Amino acid sequence: MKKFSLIGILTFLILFVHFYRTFRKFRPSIIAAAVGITVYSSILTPASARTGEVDGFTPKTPLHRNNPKSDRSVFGPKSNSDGSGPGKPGDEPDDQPGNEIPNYPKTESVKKTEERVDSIKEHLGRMNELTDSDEEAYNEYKVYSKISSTLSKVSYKIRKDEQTSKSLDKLTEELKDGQFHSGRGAKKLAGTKTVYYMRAGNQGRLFFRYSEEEKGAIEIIGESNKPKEQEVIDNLKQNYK
Amino acid sequence: MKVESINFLSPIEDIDDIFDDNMDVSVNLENGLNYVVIVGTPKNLLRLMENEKSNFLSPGDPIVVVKKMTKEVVEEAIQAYADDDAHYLKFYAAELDIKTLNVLKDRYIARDKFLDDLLEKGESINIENYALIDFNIHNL
Repeated sequence: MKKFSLIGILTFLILFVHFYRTFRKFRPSIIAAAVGITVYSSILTPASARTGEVDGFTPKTPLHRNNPKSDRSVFGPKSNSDGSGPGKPGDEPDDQPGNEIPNYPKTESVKKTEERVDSIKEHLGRMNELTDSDEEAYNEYKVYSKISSTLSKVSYKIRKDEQTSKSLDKLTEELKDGQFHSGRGAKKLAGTKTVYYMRAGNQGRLFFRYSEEEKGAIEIIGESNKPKEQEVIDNLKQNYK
Repeated sequence: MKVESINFLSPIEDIDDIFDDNMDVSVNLENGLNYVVIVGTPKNLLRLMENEKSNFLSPGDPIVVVKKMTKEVVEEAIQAYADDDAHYLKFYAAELDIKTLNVLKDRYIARDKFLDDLLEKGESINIENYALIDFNIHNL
């Protein structure tokens, strides 16, 4: 930049001297030299710098690419990740190989991302809560009945209601798949350390605990509806710690 | 009706987020009967729908909705539901099979018809002493 200014001053002086010798008048010579230097500098300055789009030091060839789609990165189309994270090129249907301009998905706000992360953490937390510190989480559980004779009678009676019976069957299937959050969610039974129960949206309540003899196995130890819930819980508290 | 005792059927101290949870609450009334109701927060209703991947809460028993799941707030709500002869506590905790629901509707229709008859005759419509459970809706 300094070099450029020095050349400009020298050029101005040369032009001034030249015009002064020619015209012998001071003011017109200065004006003519000023016009001359302006025209000269406009010829030397790059077009992009005149428009103010980029500075004069930006290289014409970009040093980095915003679209890494041909790379084998986690964001590339060859990635097997099917997560729903924000800002992943390749998520949008228009992002086909060969497109020059990448079609990025709509961005997600930081707040929304934080909320989503919190929600995932919460779900994991609940899963951990239900699997005890000693228990490993499984995708599938072996579920079998270990209902006492007293509670079997309760189970038999409450299953006379078709809806309750259906909901208990559904809860059992979901328990096998480890879907503890189905219905109104699973809870630890107050006053015990090992007994949990799942609750259907209607009356069904399914009490269970993790098998001490077999890993990945769950024992169903009681079934009830809401009116019989307290009675069944009282019985379970007497028999399980 | 007086509430004798309230038992939280899951440990209330285990709740991670008092604004997002639900639990079964067992209530003993002075009549000696026990009622179990679900108490939950508005945020938890949304989460249940998210869990079900549904735009609505699946059909089920009603939930007593509270601002937050603390012992004090839940007990306050239960006391309110126990007012007026525990009408709404009994309603929220009721086990209503389809036959019972049909009988209740038929009983309402019979009661309404009975009142119309009394009004037509210009008689007193104080019907509290009438037995209105023994009826046949097809004879109305």
